[in-house]
Amino acid sequence: MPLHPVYGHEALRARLVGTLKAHKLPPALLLLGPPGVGKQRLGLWLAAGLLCESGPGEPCGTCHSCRLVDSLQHPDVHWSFPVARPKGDESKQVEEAEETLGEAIAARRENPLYGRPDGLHALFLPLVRLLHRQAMMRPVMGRVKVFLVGDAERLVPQASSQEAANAMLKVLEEPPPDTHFILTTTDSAALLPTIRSRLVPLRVRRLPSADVARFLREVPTPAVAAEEAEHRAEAALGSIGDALEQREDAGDVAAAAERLLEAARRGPAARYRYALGVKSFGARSDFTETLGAAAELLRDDLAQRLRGAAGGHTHAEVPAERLVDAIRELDRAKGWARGNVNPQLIVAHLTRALGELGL
Amino acid sequence: MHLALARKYRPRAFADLIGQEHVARALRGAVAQGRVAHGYLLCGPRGVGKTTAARILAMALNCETRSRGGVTPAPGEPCGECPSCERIWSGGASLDVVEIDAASNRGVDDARDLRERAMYAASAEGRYKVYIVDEAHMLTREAWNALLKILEEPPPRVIFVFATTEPQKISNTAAPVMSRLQRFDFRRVGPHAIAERLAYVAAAEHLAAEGDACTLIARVADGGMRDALSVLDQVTAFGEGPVTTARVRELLGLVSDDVYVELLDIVANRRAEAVFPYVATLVEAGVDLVAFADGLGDLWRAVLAASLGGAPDGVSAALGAIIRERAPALAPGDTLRILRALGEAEEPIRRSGNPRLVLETLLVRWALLDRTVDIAELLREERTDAPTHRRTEEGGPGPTPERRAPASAPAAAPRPPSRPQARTLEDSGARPAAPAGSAPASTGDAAAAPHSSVPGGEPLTGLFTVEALRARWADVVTAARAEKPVLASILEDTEPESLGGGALVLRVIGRSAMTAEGLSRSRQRLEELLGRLLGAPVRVGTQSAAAAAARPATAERVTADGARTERTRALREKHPALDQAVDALDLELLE
Repeated sequence: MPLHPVYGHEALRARLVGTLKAHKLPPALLLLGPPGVGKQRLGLWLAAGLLCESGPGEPCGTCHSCRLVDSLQHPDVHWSFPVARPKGDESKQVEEAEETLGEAIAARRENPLYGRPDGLHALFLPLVRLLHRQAMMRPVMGRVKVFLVGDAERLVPQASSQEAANAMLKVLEEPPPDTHFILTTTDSAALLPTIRSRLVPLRVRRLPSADVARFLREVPTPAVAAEEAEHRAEAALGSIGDALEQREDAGDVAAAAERLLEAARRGPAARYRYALGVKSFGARSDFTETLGAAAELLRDDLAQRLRGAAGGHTHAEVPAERLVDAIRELDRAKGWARGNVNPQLIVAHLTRALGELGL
Repeated sequence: MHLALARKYRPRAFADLIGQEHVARALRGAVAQGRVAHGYLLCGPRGVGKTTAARILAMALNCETRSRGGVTPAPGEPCGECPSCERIWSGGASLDVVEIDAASNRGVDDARDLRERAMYAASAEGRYKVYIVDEAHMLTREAWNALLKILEEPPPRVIFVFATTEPQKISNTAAPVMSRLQRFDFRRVGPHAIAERLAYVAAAEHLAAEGDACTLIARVADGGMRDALSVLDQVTAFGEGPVTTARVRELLGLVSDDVYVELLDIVANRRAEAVFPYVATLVEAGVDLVAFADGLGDLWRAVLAASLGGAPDGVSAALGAIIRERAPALAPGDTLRILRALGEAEEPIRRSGNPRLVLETLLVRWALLDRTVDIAELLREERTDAPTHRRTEEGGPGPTPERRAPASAPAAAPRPPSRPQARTLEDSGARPAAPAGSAPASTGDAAAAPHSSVPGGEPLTGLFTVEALRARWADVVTAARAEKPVLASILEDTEPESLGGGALVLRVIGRSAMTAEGLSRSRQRLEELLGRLLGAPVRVGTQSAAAAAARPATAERVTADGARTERTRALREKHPALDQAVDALDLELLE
């Protein structure tokens, strides 16, 4: 099944076509933008544009090369993204990484709508070694070869293991002559400064809601009904990924957030009862979302308060500054949750902090 | 094939190394005098010329023009044009100059391989073998250890150059290496130097570039020449026409000066309600919030400089002028607090999955800073008033150190929570006490002339009749609260009944067997406290028996619950450690 076309980004694409035609595309590019706006899809589009048989420019979509790119089968387009850590013998890890990546790409060929990478997946060193090996070879059929590296911030899976990112440095600085690198990331600050300094950054913006809605109506199977598509596009703030991820249980998350805040309000006994009711593992799943939703609830309260709107919100008696502090507490707690701290401990601490703030 | 500007304009001579003259001079001198060391360690931030310097050194040592005695730009410089120089400069294959990526060849086997290769002589008489080991901080401890011997005594005409952004990692993993290498530290390149170089490159590329645009890029590059050239690459690759500030801003997701001016307005006029629409506009416009937060640092730094009477630099000239105009409205103390809040929020803005929310709360916090501002002003007022009070109070009783401590606390850290404790007995009771201990001018005299810390009004010390004491009892309670809130809450429910011969009888008013219980249990400490406040020793008695008898029913009912509360309260008072533990762990004392 070929990939869906690129939605939106018309201005950016027009600009890129000009750059492609002028043969001025920088060899090491960083696509930078919010999650779910189609950065990697745009990277593939660029690859097709570089390799199109009618010369660099807007990919025609009909030539052999373009069709191969759209079906993720072009031998000169190398797409890497976070995968599970290779487990095997060290000498075989590169082969193992190649295999894992191959399977993942096959899966994307079947279903091009993929979600966010698993929290434990990353671009580990064997993957970079594989990339080195491929970068040393000549292009198989095209003029150039293109390396697309998605979620590049995962080159540093955690602060203590920067091997993979460092191994990219030399090849990014002086890529082999017929090679293009396109990295994508949501968080350029999470890249090593040495990596960032070697890339030409290009910002990818949020999409207009109309484009998101059109995507929802046309691409997924089963298609989303027009009315719901509008609705979901509105809430997704210009991110197709967010619109796709919006789940049926969005209400449940909000309710869980309400329960959390309610427990904080009700005094120590209720807090600990609530904390004990939380799972003691799996901080990085729904729990993180609950914390985020609670922060959003307080944010709405705060916004309403500052606008001077009376009534309707739960924390009318709490000074605005305390709400600000409370939001900060929730954000910190979310940081811990992402670091996989036991949710019970987080909740116990968080609810107490919120209670002390008088929420 | 398009070549990145940073590669195309990589310097070919020591003289072109911008901002690193100290390194260039030393290396050039070493080559000219034939005193090249066998091992170098080049350290410094990204994009300032470490690898380039290593290559120029290798070029100079192996330059064919030089070895023929031909003309080079200066003694010790490579010619930059001969085939050897060209090959080395472009990082291409060269027999004698080997560039190694330590990040992908970091193990002990790679180091052994390097050691083996280094044993072979250079390809021709008079040439040097140069090993450039880049990203050297990634070498493992074992790899370094395998290199120790050869680094100490390498074969003749073999030179090692290590380049790294993180020398501290090398000193951690392989300290003995450091003493075997000559270390050079590269500096960040100053914005002016970067802007000049950008203008030069733009001219060489036949690009029209605004001076302001170059300055803006230089500022964003943050000391990295390569970063600056990457941005210039970006601006020229994705668009036509001259390089303008507007295009640079648009591509980098930066905001124009107006946006910052609006923020100044929101904060200065405390328009917290405007924060959410403001941030919404930023997000709508696709602004990079992280870069925006960086810009906020520059903005407030300039405001601080301006309000201290300096020149606001680090921002554009137009914004600087506006800042200078508005700076008087913002006290330096506020700006410092704003900057501190920004410092705390910087990490969350980068790391948080929701930078928008962090930014919103940060801006709201700034806009709500008013209360702390008022206190700062109050304190300043108090400070100017303080000397007068002091004179009127001369001859007062001895000072109470405990009173002074909380009084100076708000000056050191003017935060709202500490305020109630600083209240005094003055008529305008809301004012904090004069921070005598903290006002620089009065430090000496505060120590020399001890007096009651009650500034202004009548001191409490003259109250020797029961009527006088009753009249000012509320003040006594307030003063007591500043020291011992728990005792004060007992006193609050009492009233002086009689006073004579140093014995003060307190009558319990209102409810509360709790108060009676508290009085009897904390009598000794009450006596101390009142003695201190009133300036004369007192014995405290209660009119308890009669009062308790008068309301037996109430007393009975409350006792069960209330007395226990009071007991635990007294317990907390008696054991400060327990008290803190209770607070810190949010425990509830049951018995």
